Amino acid sequence: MSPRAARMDAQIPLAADRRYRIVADHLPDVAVVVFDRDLRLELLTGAALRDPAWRPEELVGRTVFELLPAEHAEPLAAHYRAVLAGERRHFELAGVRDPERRWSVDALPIQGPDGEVTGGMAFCRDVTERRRADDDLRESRRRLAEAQRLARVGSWVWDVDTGTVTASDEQYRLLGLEPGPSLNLETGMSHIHPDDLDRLRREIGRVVSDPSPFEVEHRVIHPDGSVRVLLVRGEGVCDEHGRVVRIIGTDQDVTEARQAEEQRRQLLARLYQALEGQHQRLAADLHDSHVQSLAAMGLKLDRARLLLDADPPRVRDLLGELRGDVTVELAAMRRTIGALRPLVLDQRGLVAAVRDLATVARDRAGLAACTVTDQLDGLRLDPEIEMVLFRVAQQALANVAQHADAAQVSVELERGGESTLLRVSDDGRGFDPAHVEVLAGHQGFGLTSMRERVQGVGGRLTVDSEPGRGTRVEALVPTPVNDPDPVS
Amino acid sequence: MTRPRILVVDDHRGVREALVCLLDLVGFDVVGEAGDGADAVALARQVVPDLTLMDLSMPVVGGLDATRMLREALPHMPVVVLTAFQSDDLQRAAQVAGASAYLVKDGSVERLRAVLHGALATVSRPDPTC
Repeated sequence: MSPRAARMDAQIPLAADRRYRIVADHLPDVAVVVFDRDLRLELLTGAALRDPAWRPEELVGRTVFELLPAEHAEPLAAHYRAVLAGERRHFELAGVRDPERRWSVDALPIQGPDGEVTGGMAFCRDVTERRRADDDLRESRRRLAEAQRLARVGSWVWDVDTGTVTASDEQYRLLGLEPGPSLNLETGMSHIHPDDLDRLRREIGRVVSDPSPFEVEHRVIHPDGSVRVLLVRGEGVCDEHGRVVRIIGTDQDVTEARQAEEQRRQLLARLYQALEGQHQRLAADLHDSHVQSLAAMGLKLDRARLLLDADPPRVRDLLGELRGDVTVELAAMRRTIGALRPLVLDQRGLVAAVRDLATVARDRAGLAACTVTDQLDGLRLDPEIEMVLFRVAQQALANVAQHADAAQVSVELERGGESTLLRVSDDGRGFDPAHVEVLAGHQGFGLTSMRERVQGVGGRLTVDSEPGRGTRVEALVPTPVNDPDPVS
Repeated sequence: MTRPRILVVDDHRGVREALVCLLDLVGFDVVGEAGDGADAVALARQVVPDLTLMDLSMPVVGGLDATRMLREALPHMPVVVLTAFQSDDLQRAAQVAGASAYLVKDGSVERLRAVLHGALATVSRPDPTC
């Protein structure tokens, strides 16, 4: 027997101590260390020691400074000295040979018969797996919280018996609250929009007796007064007797989605309204212009028929007039068709179509000049972009004709980088854009439809005007360099 | 035989001019022309025509209102509606307003003449002995 082993055995002279040692040897994940006042190890035992391949006989009789590197020995020695001073200590250590290993240590003094501290005992448990599980759980919770924050989804559990609600941090934020202690149902409900409260209570009340899933949408009012829309999905959880004991659920912030739906609905309504308006204008145009002209021509034909025998020269004049009427009517019909769908835009491109618009505007508004300049050099833009710019030019020139009382108007098409700019400027009476924006809901000057069209292709519309200073409408739209195709 | 005196009301100048010539050709005297209902009522009070030929869709005062006003102002003067709208509903409204007949503009001149004479014959004339 080596001197160390003899010394070890000498520390356990009694059968009872040997039994304790057997117990310690067989306890999984446990190591027991006894040290003297010189911090010299007197006893090492425990199943955990086998695992990292420590051999007790190599350790007993040596101080912690002899056994361990200084960076490990110093903190351990500090704890042991405190124990020798009579303290109980609880601390954690990283493994020396295996830094991944974590030891939870409870150290306490050993007193002799006279009460003097003769040494200490450290009861070490290998908590590596538990710490790893704790870390995993913490990481998993962190990821869940992060996912909830990103998805704007909160989760909650309502204990039916106690009435307490346990909620995730994100759930608190969805209600406009700081994460904190448990909520109760009434506190949670106090943030719900009064108009939605009864519906939500009914659903939750139903789940108390019927655990089947529910889905309900409601609004919450945040402390700052803002209103959010939450989609709640939940279900009951039953005990072994089938009684609902908990209700679990998630809340999802769907405010933006609902706002987008509402905007889409309003946009559709405006679209249909615009379509109806277009149909109405077309019907009025057909009736007031074309039907009346054709009726007048019919009356002239009747007149010619009645005069056929009596006054042939007059009939010849009437037929000449009718030929002129037909020419005028054909031109009017083409204008009507052009307003519906500018065929010239498809066939000859934006610049040609805008030139036609300018000619019509000049004649209609009695302008001194309506010039069109362009830097497109014959390039054709994407058909959708051409249509948008055409409609903006059409609306802007219609506004000039109807409201501006202008003399000079210019239409410019400029290309720069990956965008194209349409500018319609006039020297007319101008207006207060802020005032017209107020009227935008009533389609004031068609600004809303122009802006929506331009924004629809990722562009920007600006209107610069003031009373007495003319008006400048600019539509800047993206036109990537590889988009335009040369005119074939 | 005295040619009936007609007031022609239509906001479309081409239609108005064609009607004036045509009515003259088929035996009517056009004693006035108006482009909207308000002018028509004022002119009718001045010239007191035997009959007014009335369009419906017009600015300022439309044909239905003008018909009502004329029937109040000149109860014995028939009003014949001549419109581009082919609509049973409008026809009933014109009758309610007091129109003697409702004609659509795509009819022939013979039909127009017949309807005007019919309207002139059925409306009671004021008793000259009163």
